Amino acid sequence: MKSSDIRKYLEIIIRTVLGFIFLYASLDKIIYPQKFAEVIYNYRLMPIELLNICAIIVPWIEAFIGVSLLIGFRVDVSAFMLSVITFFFILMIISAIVRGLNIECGCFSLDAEGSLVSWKRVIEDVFILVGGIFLLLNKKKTVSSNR
Amino acid sequence: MRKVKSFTRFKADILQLLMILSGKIKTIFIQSLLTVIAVSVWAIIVNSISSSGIPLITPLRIIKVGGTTVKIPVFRSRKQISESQPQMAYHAPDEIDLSSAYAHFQDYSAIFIDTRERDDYLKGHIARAISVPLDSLDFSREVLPGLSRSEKIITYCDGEECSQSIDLAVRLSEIGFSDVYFFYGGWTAWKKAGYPINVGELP
Repeated sequence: MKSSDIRKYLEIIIRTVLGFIFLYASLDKIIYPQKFAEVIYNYRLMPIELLNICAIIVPWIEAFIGVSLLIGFRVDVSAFMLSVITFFFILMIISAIVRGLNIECGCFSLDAEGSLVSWKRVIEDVFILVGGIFLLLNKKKTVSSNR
Repeated sequence: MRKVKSFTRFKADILQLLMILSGKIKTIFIQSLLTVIAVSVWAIIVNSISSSGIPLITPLRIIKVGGTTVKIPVFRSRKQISESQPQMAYHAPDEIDLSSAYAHFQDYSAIFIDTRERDDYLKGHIARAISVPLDSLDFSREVLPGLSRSEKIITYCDGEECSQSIDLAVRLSEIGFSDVYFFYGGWTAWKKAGYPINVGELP
């Protein structure tokens, strides 16, 4: 198998996995925006007035990234958005841990019991970020080698 | 001579690659920005027609605490807000100071609610206080069954650095409790004053 083939299959696998993760993560938040607003509030990082608008928009951005990765539509753009958004998620979780906040992460679902902020969540997000950067660089390589 | 030539070519290649990369990143950045704007418009439209839609600007309750005002967000959908408006039963909870809280404690005229985590409550709490950690309440069911809505309630948490007491006081007021206070000094002020405390479960 050629190395370009391996890269192609790796891209499909990463795309599918990240696509599913982002689509799944967006569903609960789209259905229960007020609950997601409360999760963001607990991080205490944002002006209170903007919590709702953020809780309305962010889940749809996640959903867009998920769908576009799954169907392979503008992968470079969604991989870039994924990397930026995940980078901010990592900063938010680390800041919550450092401040000693024992709060719900709001990462994948809005289940209060299951997902408190922790270093485990940071590591998961770092893996997602690495996947996003791989897709971004890989896409660029394919685009430039096609020229 | 050949070495210098190949180095110059290498440098040119790198420069060219960097230029291509920065150009590409710029394009992707602009496209991402446009996508975010389009998705935001879509999200706002869906939110405005959805039954679980929320107001675009977070509604706030403004409460006075120790001379300053505290903003408490109200996390409810538009539907829940419009349903609760006709009742107009909301009385904003007030702050209560240490001496007034103690007076109510002495004549048994208020129920003290400890909003801290269960473990903290077990380590020590205001005597006769009941433990109701904020997270433990399910507001879709009857909250604090058996307690009259006109009962005087005083909520507290650790002290001035926590907000669960205010949060719970606001939530209880929203669902119809009419005589709710939050004791902002909390466990720290009470213990410092040497007032009665208890450890473990209620007898």
